[in-house]
Amino acid sequence: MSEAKAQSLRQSQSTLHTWSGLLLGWLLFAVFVTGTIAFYREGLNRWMRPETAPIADPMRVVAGAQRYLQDKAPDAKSWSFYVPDRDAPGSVVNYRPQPKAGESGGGRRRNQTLIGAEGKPVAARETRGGEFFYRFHFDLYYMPVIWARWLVGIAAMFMLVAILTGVVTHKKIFRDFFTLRRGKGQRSWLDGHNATAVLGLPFHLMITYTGLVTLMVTLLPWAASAAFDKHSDFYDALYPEAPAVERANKPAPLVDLTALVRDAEQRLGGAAGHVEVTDPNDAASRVTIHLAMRSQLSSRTPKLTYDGTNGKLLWRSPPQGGASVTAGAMIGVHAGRFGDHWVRLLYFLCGVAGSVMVGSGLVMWTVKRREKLPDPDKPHFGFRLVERLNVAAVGGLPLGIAAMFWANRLLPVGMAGRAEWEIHCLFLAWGASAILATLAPPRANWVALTSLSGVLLAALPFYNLVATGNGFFAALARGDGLIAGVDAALLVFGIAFLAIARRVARHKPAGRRVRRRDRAIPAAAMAPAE
Amino acid sequence: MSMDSAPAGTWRRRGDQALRLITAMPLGYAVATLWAMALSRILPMRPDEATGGGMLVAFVLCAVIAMWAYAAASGWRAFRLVLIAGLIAAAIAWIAVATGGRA
Repeated sequence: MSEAKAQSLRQSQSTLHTWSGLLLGWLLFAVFVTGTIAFYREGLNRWMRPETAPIADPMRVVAGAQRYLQDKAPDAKSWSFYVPDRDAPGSVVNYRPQPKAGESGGGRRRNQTLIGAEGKPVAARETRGGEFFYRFHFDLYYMPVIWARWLVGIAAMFMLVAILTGVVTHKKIFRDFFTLRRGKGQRSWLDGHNATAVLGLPFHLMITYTGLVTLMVTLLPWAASAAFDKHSDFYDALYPEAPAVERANKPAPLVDLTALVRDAEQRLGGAAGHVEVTDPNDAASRVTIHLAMRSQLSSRTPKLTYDGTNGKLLWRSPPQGGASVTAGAMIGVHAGRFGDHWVRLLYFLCGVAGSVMVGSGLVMWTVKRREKLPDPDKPHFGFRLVERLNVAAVGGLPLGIAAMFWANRLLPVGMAGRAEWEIHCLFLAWGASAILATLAPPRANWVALTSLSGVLLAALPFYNLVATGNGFFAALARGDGLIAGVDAALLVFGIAFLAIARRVARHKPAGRRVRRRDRAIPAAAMAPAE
Repeated sequence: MSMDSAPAGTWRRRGDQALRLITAMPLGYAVATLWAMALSRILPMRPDEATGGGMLVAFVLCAVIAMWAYAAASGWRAFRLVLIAGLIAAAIAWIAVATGGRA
């Protein structure tokens, strides 16, 4: 490829990079931020329920879940719960009542009770906890799940294109990485964008492609139509199950589930996860136990089905083929559940880098265009729109999240619809930021929103010190690194937001104030950049 | 590999840009899906395996088509070649279903 050709390829890809990055950038930013937080969803599930204790012995919880369900719904169609790991606040148990005449399958899932470390139902505040971030990451909120997944899927495809074209666009990709010009307006945004993009490049590429793979059956609904008559046939082939049995309507007591879970852990070679009991206390009862997702890389975990009356192993899922293991491993790599605490931390930091990459890329779109405007003081409508949407989306979301955490702490425990109101608080604060964005000039908004986010986030750990009895030092003294870690992270993020606010507030557009060091560079070299 | 050299603002340039866009987004997705369908029949694996494998390839294909739509010498060339690639996949899938049925 000649130099001129390389140049024009780069030009074409640069156009594509700019527009694919911008169009769905605001959605991508929200997806990136919530996905990053979701790496700690089990931990946040507990942090947002300060009444709960860490799990010392998961089997106590399993025994407690069985006791509770036996008491509450001995004749249910099915029971289900997860064997908790140490980070979780316990196990949420569900049951489906027997179907009424004319209904198929079973009634609606009922009663999501949390069984705590002691094996008893916990009177914890009502909250969606970290699950909210996990679901929002691909289901969004206030809209049908299927639309949300398509939107997020399309955004992810744009992201994949933005990353690949980004690699082509940045010729000096690794040199860019070592260039960080601080306090230089556009240059700083550009360098921040490049540094976070290059540093995290393998991660961003991996997380975007594997993210698409998690949604692949939704996003490619016709792909299975050449090989299967019905979509459900494809699912059945993909997720094989033990042969179905009819309810016998003969009572037979259910075996001890802890014994079955221990047996399954032995046979599957790792901690157990999802447990489902069909027709408990019936002669045709079955217990199906999955390997936990954290016990292996692939998210398509093997499972065992036992006879629920005598604990005999009846069925085990067949070994998977190469493509299934590949797809499952990609989903596993995306969610990072297989990792220990250090791997999670690495995922989290890469996610933060990705969020900064998307956020700074969005800001750069306006900063880069401002200099080319006919009259920089009176930008056209499109420019002003992007500039203000940036403030609303990138500046407003962190404020919304801080507001949600505060709502989690401050809303009355007995309040009706409490869990939903925590989430409404997020969107109320985010919406307020959007309204503010239309009213005040962008720069004043950046300062106001980031400093408010910073104050709210940094104040949380101090509130926890005095109000929850589960603050940083108490958690540390108990050896509960997770709770202490969440509080420490909130403080760090709070300080970081305050530092950004201070920088933006103090930043003087270059040209009016030239630093001494920069005067050494010939004026002509500086002119086009600022 | 060069962008259409027609000056910006002319209808020829606009048409070229529109063709690139159509090739990248709706057409690229359709062709990627068609290849997933074709691969689900020709990959030497169980049907569910081949279907999953085809899906994994489809996303890469979708991204590569979008990039190439903008890198190609002209929008018309990009559109034409991607369309042909889609027709080939459609033919493979159609012949496979017509002669071999479905699982």
